[in-house]
Amino acid sequence: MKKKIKYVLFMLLALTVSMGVVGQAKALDDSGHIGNNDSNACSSYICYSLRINGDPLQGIRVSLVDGTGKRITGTISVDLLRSHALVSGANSNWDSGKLVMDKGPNFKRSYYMNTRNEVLSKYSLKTTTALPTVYYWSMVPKYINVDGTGSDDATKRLESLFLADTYATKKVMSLMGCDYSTYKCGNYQMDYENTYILIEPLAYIRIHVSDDYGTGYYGTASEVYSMTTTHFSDLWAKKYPLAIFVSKTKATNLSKKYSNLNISPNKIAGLTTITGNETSNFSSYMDSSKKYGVAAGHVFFPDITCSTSKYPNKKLESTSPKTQNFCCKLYAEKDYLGHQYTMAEANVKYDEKKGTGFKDQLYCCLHKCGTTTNTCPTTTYPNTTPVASSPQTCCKTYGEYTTTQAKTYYASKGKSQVYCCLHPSDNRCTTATSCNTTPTVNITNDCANSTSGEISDIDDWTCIFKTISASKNTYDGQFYTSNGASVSNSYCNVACREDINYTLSNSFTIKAGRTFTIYDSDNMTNSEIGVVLSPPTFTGTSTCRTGYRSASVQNATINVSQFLSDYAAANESVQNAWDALQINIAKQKSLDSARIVSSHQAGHNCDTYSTCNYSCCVSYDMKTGKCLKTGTCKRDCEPCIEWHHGSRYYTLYNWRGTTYYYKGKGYTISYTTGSDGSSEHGERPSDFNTSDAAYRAAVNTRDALLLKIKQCNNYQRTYQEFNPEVSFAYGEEKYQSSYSLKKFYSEITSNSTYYNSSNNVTGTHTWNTNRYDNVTGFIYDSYSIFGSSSTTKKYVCSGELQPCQASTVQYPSNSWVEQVTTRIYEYSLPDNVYRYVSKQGISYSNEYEAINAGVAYHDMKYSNLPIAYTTLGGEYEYYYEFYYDSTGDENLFGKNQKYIKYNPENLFDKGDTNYYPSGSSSPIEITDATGYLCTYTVENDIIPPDDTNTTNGGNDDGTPLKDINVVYRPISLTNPFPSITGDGRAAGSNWQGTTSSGKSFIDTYITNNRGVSGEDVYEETPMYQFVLTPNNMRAIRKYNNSTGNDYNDYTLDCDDGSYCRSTFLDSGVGKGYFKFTSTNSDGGSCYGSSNTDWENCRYTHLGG
Amino acid sequence: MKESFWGIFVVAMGLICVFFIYFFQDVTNTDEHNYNILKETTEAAMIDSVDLVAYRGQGIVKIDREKFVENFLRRFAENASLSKTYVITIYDVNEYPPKVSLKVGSTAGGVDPSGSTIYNFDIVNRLDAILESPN
Repeated sequence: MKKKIKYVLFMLLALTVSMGVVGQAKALDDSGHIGNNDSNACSSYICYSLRINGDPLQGIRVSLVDGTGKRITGTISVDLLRSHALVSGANSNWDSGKLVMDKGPNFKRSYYMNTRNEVLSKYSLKTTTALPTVYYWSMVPKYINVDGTGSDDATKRLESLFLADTYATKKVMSLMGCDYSTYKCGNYQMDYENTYILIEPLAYIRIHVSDDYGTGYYGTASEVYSMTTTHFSDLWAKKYPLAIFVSKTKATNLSKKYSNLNISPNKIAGLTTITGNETSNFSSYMDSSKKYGVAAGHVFFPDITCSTSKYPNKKLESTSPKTQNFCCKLYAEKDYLGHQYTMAEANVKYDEKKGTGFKDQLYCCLHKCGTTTNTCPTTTYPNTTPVASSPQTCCKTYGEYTTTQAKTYYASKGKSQVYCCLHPSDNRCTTATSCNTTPTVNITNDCANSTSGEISDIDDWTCIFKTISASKNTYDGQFYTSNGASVSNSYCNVACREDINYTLSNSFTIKAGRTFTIYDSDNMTNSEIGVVLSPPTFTGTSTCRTGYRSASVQNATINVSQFLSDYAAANESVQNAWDALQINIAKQKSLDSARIVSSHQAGHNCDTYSTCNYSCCVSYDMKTGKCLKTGTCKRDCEPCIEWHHGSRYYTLYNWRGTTYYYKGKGYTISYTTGSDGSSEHGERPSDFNTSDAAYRAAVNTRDALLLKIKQCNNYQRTYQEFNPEVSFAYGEEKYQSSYSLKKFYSEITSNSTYYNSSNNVTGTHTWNTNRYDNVTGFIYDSYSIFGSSSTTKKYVCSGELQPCQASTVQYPSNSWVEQVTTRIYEYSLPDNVYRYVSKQGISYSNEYEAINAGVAYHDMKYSNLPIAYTTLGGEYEYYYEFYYDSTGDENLFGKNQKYIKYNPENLFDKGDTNYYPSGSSSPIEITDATGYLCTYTVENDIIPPDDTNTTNGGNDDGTPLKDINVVYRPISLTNPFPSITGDGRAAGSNWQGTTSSGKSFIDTYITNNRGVSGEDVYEETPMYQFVLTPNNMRAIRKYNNSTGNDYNDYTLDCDDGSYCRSTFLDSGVGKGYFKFTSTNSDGGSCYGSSNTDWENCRYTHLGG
Repeated sequence: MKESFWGIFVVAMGLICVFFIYFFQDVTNTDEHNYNILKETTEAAMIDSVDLVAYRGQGIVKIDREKFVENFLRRFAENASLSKTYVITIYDVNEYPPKVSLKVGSTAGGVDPSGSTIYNFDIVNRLDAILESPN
């Protein structure tokens, strides 16, 4: 039946054509022909040939379109031919050249390379006789038989071209103007999920009506059909396209695909499913209402990029999550494994992480995701690969060994990696040890036990580096990111450990009434402080190392070889960027120098040709194919009757620039300009990019590599976070309080030691630490090189059109570096603590208070802590604390120091801050946990308890006090310390000393007082002499009454507590308190003396 | 007449005796009084003038020189006889170690009528004293 229909159609066509053809039309020696394949002349036939240069054209046009068939913005179509003989000059795949045509026939093709949809959208194609540029690709299959028929699976074969060949896909994407990796076409970002490679078979047909060569039409089937359908649709209907591009199988596949991905089954790449009779009714393909077009193959873009080798349950490529998601669902949709998974499973399981041990990767899970069966990659067990995280489950379920063995020998390897060890004979597990980074802590809380404490991180660097993956905000993480700062780049990784030790003062003894302080006694000048406690000293040492080292790992830890490799590549990039820049400069200079060198006349394109009549067959014999009737047909012919621009010729000017040379190659810019009066033809090319941005970026990239390797060598941890705050408290009855101590001495040292791969020291350097208190984390010396060094090639580029010159750059080649920062702090009392002492024996913390008291005072020069004169002898407590909460700000070796921020294993307990020292009724802020307790002993020599007085002057506890503990004694100037034996007795303690000249106090001030012997002192000029008349005494008594008979009013005018002059005496004469004698009218040799003659006045007027 | 003369003589002698008795009694009492005042006042003044600053700073028992002088005058004037004039002469005040040497002289009305000349009498008391710390 089908044959009959074809036959009838053919006959009708033949009849119609024969009516306009003068002679018979028949096939030449081509395989595609109407009628028999014979060699009769074609004088009376419409003849055609499908062959080009002897064989049917086997080629495809590849375009990039969206789901509706619309061309992707910025892309062009590419014609790929199977035969290199048809591509001028082509020898290998992907070579391009002009199409090689038969000699003789005229040539005609579409002016533009259209897609199917673009052909359908045009009424008529604009044509040209110019030969197209095509590419040679041997993989294009022979999809047209010699007789013009096609294979049923031709379309499938065409699709598979790109599915199986990623290189071909990348190549053709590039030719079309797109980047396969970024999915960008120029500046346009294509929609990954809505992109298709449209494959349209190319066709060639030469038609002639006599024995001449006629015209050959080239293009896609749609294009050729569009160009020839006016007269030869019958030919197409019978032969050429039908067998190749449309079949029921094809239509079925189109409808089945992607039904669950919201992609219309009937609108894929703009193609329309053709079913039923339409598949064999080609006349409808180009029908204006249906617009099927000549069908073509297509490839869904994700079908190419979503490689089936990645599914299921294998790590996805690091493409965008959106792409991963789509690929996973596409995998389920396409059901490559034969219905093992359902779309529901894909939807649910997709995007799950694969399970323990593989948390950082995304997987496409389609079935049983998350179970041990699917999540344990057996390729890593046992012991072949370190396991990134807790692999217990997988290790125990590994099938080769028993669960018991797995449980027994599952362990960390004891070094920097974790392995699953299943068997006792596995030597990598025999050394398994746990890595405990808990620091060693030896804190003293009582000076009776020790006056020093320490805390040290482990010194097992293997263990330290083993925790390199520890979270940043953890104690272990601080080995690598000290307060968030780290040294980590592609060439090294630095970890740091700490040692902290401190020393506090011991017990001491002090006299009541005296003072003590906390300071360095060696640096105290003219100190009147009774006891100087050694200052609390806190020493923190940070030791940082590059990389991971242990006895068994001796490899260089700074990856110098990687640096050299990277630097060499970056160096080449610098040269390439420079070369590109100079070439552009040369071109630009040539462009700027371009002048008109010639001109020529140019023609216009023809819009409408004249119509010519020619003899043709208007009726055929349906059986023989012979022409039954000839008639007149019309066709385009010269002359042109409508030009595109209205006139025929215009002038084009040829421009040519000066040739500029770079690296021996000349660069000349030529171009053509002209105007036809209505539009411009040709223009000056755009300026070339002469910006040096790319070159500078390349230089920066190269320099950054050198900076990295120097950072690995010259890093310095400032260790600023080691900043202990220390306070002191003591239980003195009158002066008890807690004082925050200040640092009066700080020392920062920083040294680096450089080693080679044999662990030999190659150099050392001491760093300047001036900036250490202003920088947190690390600082670097980006210039210097210490230890071992070497050189590598470096391009130095300068000068216009001058090539780069090879030079060298020095880089550090040390294998590893150890950097040590030590901070030492010593503490003292803060400023102005009880520094001022009044003549009444009261201490004040600032001079203002002392002045306000209205009593002469003395500046002790140093902060000090007094012991009251009335303090009873005995043992008292004092405290240091360095872990406390001060206004809500915790501090232990510094408030940002890791032991306070992370307090590993709860090593420190702040304790209670309201602590009552012994004998005190009020609390002081001192911790009872890590506070440091010590004692001091008070000896009261000045106002001791009086066992005989139980009523007055006692302490709160009822213990009475004596007056000042001295004996008033009238003496003889010749025998001041007599005894019953006549030998004399020992003088009191205060009289047992000597003067600066070495004489005894007794000799100087008693027996030879004022330089004279014994009673002769009464022959000297009096130091003071006053006359008290009754009137004077009445005046004094009145004054005494005004002061309440208080003789301790201390109306003294002193010089820093010494050389005190009595204002009573100074004003005594004027106020009538006393008179002077006539013999000593100035009141005596020492009356009115100042500090300059304070002592000398005792020795003046001798013998007077 | 003769008896009258004798009577007058006896009365006169009696008056003379009474004068001398009064005179020597006055001298004796003044001397004793002056010494006691001198001794007690010196002790009190030395204790009062102990410099607590020196003890706090240096741990020594030291007195303030002029504070001692002032304190001595004020205490002496408070306790001395308003019928007499005193001459206070201080020959030595040593701050550290504390030691003083001073002399007090007084008159028993021995002032010239003009009041401009003060006569020194033999009623003089001297005192040398120290403050001694226990061993």
